[in-house]
Amino acid sequence: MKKIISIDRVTVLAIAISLTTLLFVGYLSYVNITKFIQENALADRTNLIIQKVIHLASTVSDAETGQRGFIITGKANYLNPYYNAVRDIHSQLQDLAMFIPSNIIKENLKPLTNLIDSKFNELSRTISLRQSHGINAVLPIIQSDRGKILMDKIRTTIDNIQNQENNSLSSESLRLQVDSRTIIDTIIIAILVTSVITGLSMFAINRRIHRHHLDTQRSLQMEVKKRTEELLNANNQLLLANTALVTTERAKEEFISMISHELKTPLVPLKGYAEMLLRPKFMGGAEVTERQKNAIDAMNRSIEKLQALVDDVMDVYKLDMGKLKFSITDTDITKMINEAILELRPLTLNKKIDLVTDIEVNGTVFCDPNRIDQVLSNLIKNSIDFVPDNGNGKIIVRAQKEDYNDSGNNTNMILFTVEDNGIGINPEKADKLFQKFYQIDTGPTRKHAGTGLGLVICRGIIDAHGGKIWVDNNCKTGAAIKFTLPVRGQEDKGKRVQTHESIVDRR
Amino acid sequence: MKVLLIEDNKDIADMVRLCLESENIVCETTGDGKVGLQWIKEDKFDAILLDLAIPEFSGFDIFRELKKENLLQSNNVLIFTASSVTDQELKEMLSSGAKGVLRKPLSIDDLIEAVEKFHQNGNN
Repeated sequence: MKKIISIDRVTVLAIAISLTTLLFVGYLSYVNITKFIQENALADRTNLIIQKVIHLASTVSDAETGQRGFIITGKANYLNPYYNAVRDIHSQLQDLAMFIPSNIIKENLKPLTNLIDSKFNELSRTISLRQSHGINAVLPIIQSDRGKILMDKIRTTIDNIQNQENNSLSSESLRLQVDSRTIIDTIIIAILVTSVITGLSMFAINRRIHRHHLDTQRSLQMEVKKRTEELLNANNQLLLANTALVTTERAKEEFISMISHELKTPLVPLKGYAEMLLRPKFMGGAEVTERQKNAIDAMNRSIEKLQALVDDVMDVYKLDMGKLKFSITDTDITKMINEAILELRPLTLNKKIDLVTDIEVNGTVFCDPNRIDQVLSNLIKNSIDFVPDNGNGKIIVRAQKEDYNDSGNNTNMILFTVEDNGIGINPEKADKLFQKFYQIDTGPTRKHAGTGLGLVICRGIIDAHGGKIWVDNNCKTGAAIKFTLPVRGQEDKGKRVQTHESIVDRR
Repeated sequence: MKVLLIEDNKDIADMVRLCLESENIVCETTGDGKVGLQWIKEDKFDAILLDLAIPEFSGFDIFRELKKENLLQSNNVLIFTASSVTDQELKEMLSSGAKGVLRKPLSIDDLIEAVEKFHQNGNN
């Protein structure tokens, strides 16, 4: 900022000098013009004076001519010029006195006036004499040269006046010319000086601006460099953090993979042999006894439960770690529900349970079909466990367009319901239902066994899809569990929905 | 009928072998991927059970090699795996020429059914 102030100072100075010079030039021009006007006025005046003086001379001359004419001829009309002159002469003299400067008046005009008075006296006397005594009386006076001498003096005086006027005009003129030339030179010099000063100041300003610009540039460059360094540092740190994160994530995934593999591997021969024990070809054609068969069946059931438990535990673990992957597509609603029903139909037929669907919508939902099948199966199996098996049991799977207030979602959702006419769910216990290892009834009289993880997994899956799952408290008899799924993909909600390959196996 | 099982877990390998032998199907096993690949090239099997999760030269590698050498059409490769394979990858392998998938834990019925299929369609 300091630099800008000093630019201003120089600029102001330069502008001040330039303006001053211009004003000065203007002033000089004004003076010059005034002098020219003066000179013109002077010249005019001189001309006027000379004109008047000449007119005066001619008036006197006219008077003389009149007198001469009359003296010679004696005729009265020859005196007209004389009378005119007499009449005008004094006013002319007065008029002239107004224009002539006082020193010349003193010198010349006064004597001239006297001379003219004398002359006119002489003329008047001679004329009177001629009138009264005739030409012979007057001739001697005329021949005495007195008149001529006077006239000559008058002419001389008039010439003097003229000369003096001209002289004073010339000297005045000369002086003015010299002054003018000086003024013009001064003006030219002033203009040159102004131009030089303006040029220099422009140059100085320009240089300062340029230097200021360079300084700004330099400081900007340094700033940029500093920022770039900072950014690079930040970037490096981010890379390190990312690498660490990726390593951690990969470690997690590898760990999960390993656990999954280790848990499932022993089950393979366990299940295999258990099944083979029931195959005659393996048993070498020998039939198993009934007791043996019961034992083997029990083993098989146990193994199945263990398998289901391992699958559930792995699902819960993956959900907790955020590592449960989904393969999301547009899934046909009717098809998906029907496939889930199909799998479970044998079970429901066995228990004489009526399993029906009530699908009110067409179209698709945006979900992982295998996982939603898992949810539906889980819910239906729960219902199967809790409905009467005397032939009155009924399970309905519904799909509808969602009412706005059901789950408070903004996007288009489909509402699924699995409801039954079983023993129902205690509203007080309803919200705990989706917690880990919660079971409706526990303890030695447990009729309905399960891992307690199924609903937890359902919640994890539905949440990851951007939907909601809850117990419908409006159900009067039996139980109803509802969940929502989006019709179309939700761009911002699917934090845990990763739309690439799924880890599908849950069998 | 002769089946090749490429599987590194001894217990599983024994079980499968016993199972198949009880059905009069010869089962050769190896836990080494490279050895298995070689046996496929040298010998003719009615079916090949390929475990993907074997160490070092994995089932994936073997599959890739077979695909490269165009041996998938002439061999009946059944992918034998636990869960850690993605749906997408399985679909790819099936469309590349794998003839089926058997999930672990194995269902004996499924195993026999799958293998018998090739017994009927294959040679003989």
